Amino acid sequence: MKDFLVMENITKVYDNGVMANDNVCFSAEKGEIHAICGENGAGKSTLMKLLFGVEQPNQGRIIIRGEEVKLTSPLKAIEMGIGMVYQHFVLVPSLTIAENVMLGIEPKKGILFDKDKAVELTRAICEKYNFDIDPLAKIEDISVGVKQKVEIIKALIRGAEILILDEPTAVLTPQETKELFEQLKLLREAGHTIIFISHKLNEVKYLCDRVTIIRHGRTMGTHNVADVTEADISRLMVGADVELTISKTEAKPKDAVLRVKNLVTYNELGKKTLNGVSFTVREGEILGIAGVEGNGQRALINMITGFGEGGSGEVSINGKDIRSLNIKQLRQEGLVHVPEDRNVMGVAKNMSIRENLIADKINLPKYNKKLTLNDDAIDEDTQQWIKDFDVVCSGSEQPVGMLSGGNVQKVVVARELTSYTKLIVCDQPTRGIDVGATEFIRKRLVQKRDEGNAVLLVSADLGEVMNLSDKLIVMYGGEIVAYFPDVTDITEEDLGFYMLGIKKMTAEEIGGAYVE
Amino acid sequence: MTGFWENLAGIFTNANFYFAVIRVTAPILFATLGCAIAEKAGSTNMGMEGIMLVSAFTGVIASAFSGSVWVGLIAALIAGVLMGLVVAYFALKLKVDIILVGIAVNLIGTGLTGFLIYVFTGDRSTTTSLQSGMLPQLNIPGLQDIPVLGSILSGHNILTYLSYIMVAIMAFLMYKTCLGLRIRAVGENPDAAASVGVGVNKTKTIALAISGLMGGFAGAFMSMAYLSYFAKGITAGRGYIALAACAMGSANPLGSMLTSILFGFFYALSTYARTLNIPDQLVTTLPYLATLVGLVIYSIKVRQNELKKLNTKE
Repeated sequence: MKDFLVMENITKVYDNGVMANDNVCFSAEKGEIHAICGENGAGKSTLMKLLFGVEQPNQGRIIIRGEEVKLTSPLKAIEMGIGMVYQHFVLVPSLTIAENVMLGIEPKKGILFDKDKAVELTRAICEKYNFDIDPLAKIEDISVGVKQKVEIIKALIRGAEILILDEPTAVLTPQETKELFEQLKLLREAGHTIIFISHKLNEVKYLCDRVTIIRHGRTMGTHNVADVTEADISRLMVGADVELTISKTEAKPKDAVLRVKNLVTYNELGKKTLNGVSFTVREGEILGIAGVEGNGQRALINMITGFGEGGSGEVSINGKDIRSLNIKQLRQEGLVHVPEDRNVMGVAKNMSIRENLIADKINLPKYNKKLTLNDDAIDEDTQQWIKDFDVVCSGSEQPVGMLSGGNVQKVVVARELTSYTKLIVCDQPTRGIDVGATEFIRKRLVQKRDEGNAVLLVSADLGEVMNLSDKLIVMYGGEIVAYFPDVTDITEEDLGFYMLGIKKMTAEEIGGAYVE
Repeated sequence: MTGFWENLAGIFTNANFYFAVIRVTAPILFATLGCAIAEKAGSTNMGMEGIMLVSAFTGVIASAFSGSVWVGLIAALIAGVLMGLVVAYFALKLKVDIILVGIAVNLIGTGLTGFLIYVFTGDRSTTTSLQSGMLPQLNIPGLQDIPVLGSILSGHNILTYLSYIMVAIMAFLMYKTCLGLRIRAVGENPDAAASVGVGVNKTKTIALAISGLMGGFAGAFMSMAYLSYFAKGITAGRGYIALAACAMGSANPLGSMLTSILFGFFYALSTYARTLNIPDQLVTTLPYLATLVGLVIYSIKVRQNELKKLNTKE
């Protein structure tokens, strides 16, 4: 069908003057999976908000099934057969799947909510689209993958023919991702149009029919996925060739910096979160930790970075026991920390880039004139760092909260790496940020390694761990289940066996991770 | 001290004491149910005390001037609903912090009714000079003839019976109707409700209006069933106790009833305990002490639930 969905010459300028979309054109056909790729802050989300009626364009037309429409609210968009699956689910935890699905369009018996009918309708739609879920299960009891299915069903039951999925695989395990893709293919066969927003080019390549690339609020063209390579797409996204694999020289490790020995920790329920973890990270090497989230990585990072309490075992930096040190003292030992969630622990969102960058250095004599701050020195250095770390912003006084995800992360990394460093702990350093920023941050980490720092890298992105690490350990169930002194010849498949607890190395092999 | 224990035993073997428990529970129960429905919608109705005061006063005035206690009751209910809507307007439309709105409503309730007593009666503390009515008591045929039980359960005010029936009505409303489903959804995750076109503010407004209606019943009970006139500060903190009872009862109707009865028990005890030869001031603090203890127990319970949830998740 021609003109099934057309967004024509869309321009959107936000009230604060940010031009998010500049004359963007986008069209999708019935029964295709259409990817939208772009860096963080490129304007993908804005474009989708316009399509879902959350925001209205300043200029341009939206045509659905050959007719121009004004999408003034999400309700209007739903009426037009558009459904949205947000990255952060919007579900009511204590209600059942059926109740969540039917909320707002409840089947009624007088003033009564017709529960049986709701379950029946939910079940019917699940069967129709081959979703294997129990409508009577409560949201609080189901996994992330199932929650996502519920969101899709919510859209389908309201008659969505166009489904927008905002980075749907970011929260899924590899297995769940695979299942989702099968589901989406079925929906495509049934004639649904799926708009797939993603950073993960391999997924785009695998799943999608066409791809539209957006850069700096402008469309960089639409291509058949079969005709372009991942490298082509990333080139269009960032305008330069991105090496998705960072090239690095062989590590030249020296003395041990971080030693963890027989570390055992418990959660507040008294359950073991770490069970005898031992390893060493030396100067000039990157130790990667792979593992499905929730297998002790959190507890381990907390113990090293000063957020953990209790437990037993040793943690030392440069031979000094750090278990009793507070975070300020830890930093004096050269520990820096790029936390998992930049928005929660990484930055103070309402404060300026300058303030965020200087936050950890405020006591240094260079910036501190005892009674007042040395503003000149602070200005000079923060501006230099903004340049060095390529933070795209309107100035050093801009609040960090206004920046895109990738730039927020650059601020975090800039602050941490410009500190006194010996041991760099990175937890998901490039999660949810664009290719350009990812490459930049990875290169910086390698550079820091070459300068003689020890780097501990935890990442859910297997490609990242395998590319950056010099040595690799795999965590499962609070233990180290595999140790690879050489990363070059392992495959993702191998890692998968260990990550899922199917295989485990011998104690001797694992013991290699710890050197006296 | 033997006299103390004998007197205490005397209280607990006295049917009148249990009659009193049922009676004094009624206003707390109405108010707690009102707090519960607002809480379910995610809008803590901190202003319950003020709503009760305004309703109690309005009821007395309307009753005195119309000569009909029923007109008084209806006026009290309307006043309650309007006060609920006032909370909704400020909190939802003007986006004032709902706790602050509640506190303002409470202060207005105290100040305004105190002032209006004087305007209407010339008296400074009560409306005893006005001829306002009392809602009727019901003797339940059959029940009243049963020994002991009859004297406990029969002969209560019509609103007392209604307060217990209201528990079932509220449970039905919350868990069986579409409105109830929406109220719970809005309270738990407003984004989820909004994403499927449920009007979040509309739903919350309805819940606050119902909350106000319950406050209306509670207020009417105070001035037209518990007493036959309005006195300054007649509610004596029952609106706050209702908030505590609602929290302890997890905002469920049945839980609300159980916690309300608990507070009712201590209220009744504080009246009867005057025979125990312990200082009066101490005795009258019983319900409030019970509130404190209750809240501690509640917070421990919440903590345990959280732990349990953590446990099942891992």
